[in-house]
Amino acid sequence: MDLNSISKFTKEKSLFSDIVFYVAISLLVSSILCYFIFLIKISSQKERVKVLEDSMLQIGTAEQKEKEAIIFKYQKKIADYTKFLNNHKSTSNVFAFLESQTLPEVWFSRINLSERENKIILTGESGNMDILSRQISTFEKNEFVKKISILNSSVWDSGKIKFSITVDLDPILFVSNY
Amino acid sequence: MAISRFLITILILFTTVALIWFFVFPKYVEFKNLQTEVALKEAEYNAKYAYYAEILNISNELERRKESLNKIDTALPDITSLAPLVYFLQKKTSESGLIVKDLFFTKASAISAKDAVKEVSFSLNINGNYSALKNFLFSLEKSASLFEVINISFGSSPNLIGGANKSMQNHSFLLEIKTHSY
Repeated sequence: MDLNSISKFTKEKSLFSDIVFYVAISLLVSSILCYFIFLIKISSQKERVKVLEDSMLQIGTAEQKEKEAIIFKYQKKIADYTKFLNNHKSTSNVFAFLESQTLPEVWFSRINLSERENKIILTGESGNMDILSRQISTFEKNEFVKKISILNSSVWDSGKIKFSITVDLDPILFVSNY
Repeated sequence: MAISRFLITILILFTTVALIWFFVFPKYVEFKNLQTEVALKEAEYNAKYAYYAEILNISNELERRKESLNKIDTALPDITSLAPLVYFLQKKTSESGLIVKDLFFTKASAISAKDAVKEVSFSLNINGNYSALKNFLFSLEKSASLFEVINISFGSSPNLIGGANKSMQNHSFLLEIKTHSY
C-alpha cells in the first residue's frame, strides 16, 4: 500500500465521520426543537380546552335549563292532551240520537248509559206490542245501532207494554265531532 | 481526534434517541390526545350551542302560543286539591238549572305505572229537568277541561224521552264523570 492511497482512505473516512457527526447534531437539534414545538402546541391546546369549557358553562345557564324544563313539560302535556282529545267521548250525541229515533207512542222512564261499553239500557213503555216492534225496528235500521237485545217485556192491564232493552251503539256516536 | 469525534457522534445519537424516547414522544402523544379532546369539546360546544338556540326558538314559539297552552293547562291541570274541580262542577250544574244532591269523589289513580297522568272520577247525584241535564252535558263537553261522562243513569215515574216530551219535569240523575290531571 503506497502513501497516497493511505492518505486518500483517511480523508474519505474523515468526510464520512463528519457527515455522520453533523447529521447526529442536526437530529439532536431537531428533536430539541420538536420538544419545544410540542410544548407550545400543548399549551395552546390546553388554553383552547379551557376557553371551550368556560364557553360551555355559559351556555346551559339556569334560565336556559328552566326554559328547557318548561318545554319538556309542555311536550308531554301536548302529547297527553292530543291523546285524550282524540279519545274524547261525547254523551250528548246519544241524547240527540234517542230524541230523533224515539217514536211518539214510546216513552222511556229510565235510561242507563255506559260510555265505556258503548251501550244504553232503556226502560220504558209503549202503547202496544206493535209499537214496540216498530221502535225496535227503527233502532235496528239506524246506522249507529250495532245490536239490540230485549231484556224483558210485559203487558199491563191497560194494554200498554213495559219493556227494557239494551242497545249496543257504534262507538263513533260517542266521538265528539262525528 | 477521529476516535473522539466518533465517540461524540455515538453519544449524540444516543442522547437524541433518549431525548425522543423520554421527552419528545410523550409530548407528541399528549399533543395528539389534547387535539382529540379539543375536537370533542368543539363538537360538544357546537351541539350544545345549537341545542340551546333551538330551545330558545321553541320557548319563543311557546310564548307566542300562550293562549293555546293555557287551554291545555286547564284541560290537564296540576291538581293538588280537588276543590277547584268541585267548584267548577257545582258552578256548571247551577248555571244549567240543576241542583246537586251529592257529589262523591270516587277515584284518582295513575293511568299506568309510567304515566304521570291521573284519572279523576266523580259521582254526581243531581236533580233537575231533562233540558237542564242536556245543557249541563253540553257545557261540560264545551269546557276547556276534558270531562267525560262515563255513565248516566236516571229514571223516575214520569217519562223522560218520547211521547209528550215532558222535558220540564224534575228527575234525579246519577252521573259518573271522569277527567284527567297531573
